Amino acid sequence: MTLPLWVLLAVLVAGMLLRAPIGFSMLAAGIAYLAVKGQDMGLAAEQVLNGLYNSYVLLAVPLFILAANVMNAGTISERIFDFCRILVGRLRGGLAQVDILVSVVFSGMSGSAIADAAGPGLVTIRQMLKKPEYSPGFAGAVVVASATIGPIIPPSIPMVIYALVSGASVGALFLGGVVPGLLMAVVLMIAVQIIATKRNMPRDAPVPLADYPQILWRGALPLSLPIVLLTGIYTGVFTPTEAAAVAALHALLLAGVVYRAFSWRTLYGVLLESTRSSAVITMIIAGAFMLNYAFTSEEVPQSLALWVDSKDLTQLQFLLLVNAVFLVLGCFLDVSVMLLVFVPMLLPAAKVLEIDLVHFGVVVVVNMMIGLVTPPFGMLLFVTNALTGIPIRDMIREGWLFLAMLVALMLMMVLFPQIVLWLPQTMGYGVQ
Amino acid sequence: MRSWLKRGADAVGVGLFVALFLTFIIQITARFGFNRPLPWTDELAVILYVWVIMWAAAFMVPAKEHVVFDLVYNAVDKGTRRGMLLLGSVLIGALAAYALPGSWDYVRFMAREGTPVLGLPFMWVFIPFVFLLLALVVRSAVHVVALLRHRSRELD
Repeated sequence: MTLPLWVLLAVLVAGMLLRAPIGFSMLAAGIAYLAVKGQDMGLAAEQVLNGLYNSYVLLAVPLFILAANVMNAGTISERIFDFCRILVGRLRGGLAQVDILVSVVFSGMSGSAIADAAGPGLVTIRQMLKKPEYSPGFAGAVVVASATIGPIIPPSIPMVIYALVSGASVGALFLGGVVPGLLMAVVLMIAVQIIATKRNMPRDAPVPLADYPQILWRGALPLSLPIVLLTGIYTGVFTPTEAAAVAALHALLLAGVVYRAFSWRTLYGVLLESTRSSAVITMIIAGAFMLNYAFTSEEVPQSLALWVDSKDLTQLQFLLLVNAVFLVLGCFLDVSVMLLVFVPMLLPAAKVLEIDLVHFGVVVVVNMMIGLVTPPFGMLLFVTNALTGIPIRDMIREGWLFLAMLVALMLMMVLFPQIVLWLPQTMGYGVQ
Repeated sequence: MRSWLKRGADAVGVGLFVALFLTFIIQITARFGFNRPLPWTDELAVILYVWVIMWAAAFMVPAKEHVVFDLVYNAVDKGTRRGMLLLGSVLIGALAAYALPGSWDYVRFMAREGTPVLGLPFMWVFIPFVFLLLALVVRSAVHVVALLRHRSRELD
């Protein structure tokens, strides 16, 4: 390790420990690195600005954020909730099952786990808390666990970012997430079933048949969005970035024109919120451009690749090692930091071992979604706690079975790459 | 005065964001509606993107909305927290100030090169980064003063 690299790490760690914003800490660390190395400060501007200017795919991020915020403000979440209630509401622990199904549907429109918890998640928590059989901890745990499906089933903001750092195809990554996302829903539903049976939770009264047409109609329009989006992306009619714009437009038209659930004031609030959130995420990306410049000039990823090569690790050993490390890191770090700093370091090693980058990407994103629900630093726990007041401790106590199920599924994905790769390959990805 | 400035900054940011969104809508409409792809929409979208992000990060995002690592912060008493925020602000502010002249030189230097389609000098694409560094310096300084006078809102 060289002195400039030490200084970079020192500033980075100091900034983070002192609770300075992570994006700015990364930027400052990069500046300190250039300073100690005696390089031109223009490089800081150049790295950040050219990084952003040349990352066209990143434009999808603000647009997906806008789409999710519009859907949450425009009663679209409620409509999906009613729709899913018809399907699985009669099972034991019905509302928990409904929540998982809602997450699956919402995942097909939004690419963010946080948006899932804050939107449809909040809707179902409120319904569950009205009934005595759902403890607040259980309600919170279900919502938090099911929100992790959001970025696995396409569209997906983390996968867009992974595509940026790895050069893997966004379309193939999106396709690769479909089967794992659905399996996540299945294992979570099994977990709910186990818990509900054990606690002998009562069944809900059925929704009157007379209400069906109205509920189905109300749900039909929002449900058309995932179909439009996915068909559009996979037939190549539009790029993932354009799909994000279409999703936002679709949501705006539904909420504003069709449902009239929007006032101009609400719309302004949604736009303001979307602008700010986009900046928060992108500042971390900008900071990562600086760090990655430093790491690349110090040949950190190459050294890691050489080290992995010298250890004669098999693909499987490497993947297991990476996932174990990421599960631990995920307890303490934000997803964007892991995706933008640690993943680029590992990519050369993954390439040396000829690991499929789509398989690697999907597994890593699933791993990070698990990181969103593991304490002490679990963003989904924080968001749900902030919105509902349910103590994080209670969610963790009720949530261990969900967590175990998700980790087990991730392990299966590592052991059987076909879970991820089957669909993209069937659709023509990587076929020689 | 301050809230008036804040509202103005917010309105500019939202305006840029809306412009970015509309650019995409125009692009898609031109391509699918009229089968006539426009050459300038991709470029304009990226330029607006750089502006939205830098502008919002500089003038719109409140300190408490940023992603932070607060495990240590939450575990210590108020006096230590004050010291931490103070050191953190000095660290970020000082390094941003240090990078300011060189970054400004780079941005000014880029005036001689135009974007491929619109021919807009890159200086005008990149200048919001200078705003961001300036804002970081000023905001850090203001925060340091507030902390020293025991008037930081973030601490409560």
